[in-house]
Amino acid sequence: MTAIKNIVEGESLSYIGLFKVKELYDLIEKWCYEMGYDHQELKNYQEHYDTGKQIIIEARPFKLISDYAKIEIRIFMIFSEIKDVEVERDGIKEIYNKGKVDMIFDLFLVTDWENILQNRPLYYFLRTIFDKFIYKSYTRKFERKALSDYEDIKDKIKGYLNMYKY
Amino acid sequence: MGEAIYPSNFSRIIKIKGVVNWSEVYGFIKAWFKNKRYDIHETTYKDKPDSVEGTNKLECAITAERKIDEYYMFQISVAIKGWGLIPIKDKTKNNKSIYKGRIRFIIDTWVVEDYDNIMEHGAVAQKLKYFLRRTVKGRMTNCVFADYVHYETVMFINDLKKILDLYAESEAFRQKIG
Repeated sequence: MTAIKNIVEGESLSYIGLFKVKELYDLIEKWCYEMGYDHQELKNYQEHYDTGKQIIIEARPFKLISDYAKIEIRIFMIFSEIKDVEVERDGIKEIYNKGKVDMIFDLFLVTDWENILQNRPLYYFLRTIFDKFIYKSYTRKFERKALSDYEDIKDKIKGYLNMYKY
Repeated sequence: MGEAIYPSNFSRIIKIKGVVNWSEVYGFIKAWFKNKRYDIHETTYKDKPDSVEGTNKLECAITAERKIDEYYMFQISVAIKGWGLIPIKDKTKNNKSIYKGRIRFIIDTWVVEDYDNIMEHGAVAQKLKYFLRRTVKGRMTNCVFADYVHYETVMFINDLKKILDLYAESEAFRQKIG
């Protein structure tokens, strides 16, 4: 049985204004590729309404940091009332998207992701003892690594969205 | 028919509500798998009027298989369902199906081990098979092949998003396979 620890749960980020959906999505994907995360996208919904487009994306990129532990970041994005807007910047006309972005972040540390130690209750008990007490320093190291990656991606997304305020 | 190993625990779902050129999408799916040397099996195809007057419903299930060697096989399945589809008359001369409504794609992928059931006859053969999977062939199954078919599916989904004209598509992982 894999053990899943919630390091970050339900942190949200909201933004209303100008941005580009494709560029924001590309930023997240490129970050995942550069940092060695594997791609995992569960949902990608795009719906057209009178008030604008609504896009819902659920991405769960993961990284296997050892044969025992895995970092998983869950990003749930809702883009609503998206409309195409033409904006002139430095004499060049570009098409941007105007609307609302809501993002919810979760961060998990998954241990025993291969389910090797799930066969017997004794293995499960020993695994828990090792995780909590004996290998505590390693587990904490993995958690710190996961948090650092999470802060990095969140800062990059905030930095990108803040660019369009000015 | 062999044992399936899933690279990911999740199915990938794409849903679109809007105008979709179904002929183009259908043709793209078949052409993509043909280019990648997959054998296509279409188990379901329904495109008929729905209970609500003036609308159509669509159901299509495609399974694509590619035999890597005498033991391993990649499988990608695409389940397509459409409902509340209103046909839009195309201005060009070709009679193409363009619909306005909701369409959902569910994409699953897996690696099939021992697809010809070579190691299924007898208890000894099965034990040998599990021994092979855990020791000799374990890396090939769990790391190499599972990873490869996972990223082939990612590329397929990316190209499908381009055809559907979705905003959220990226080429970032194209370098994984090329």
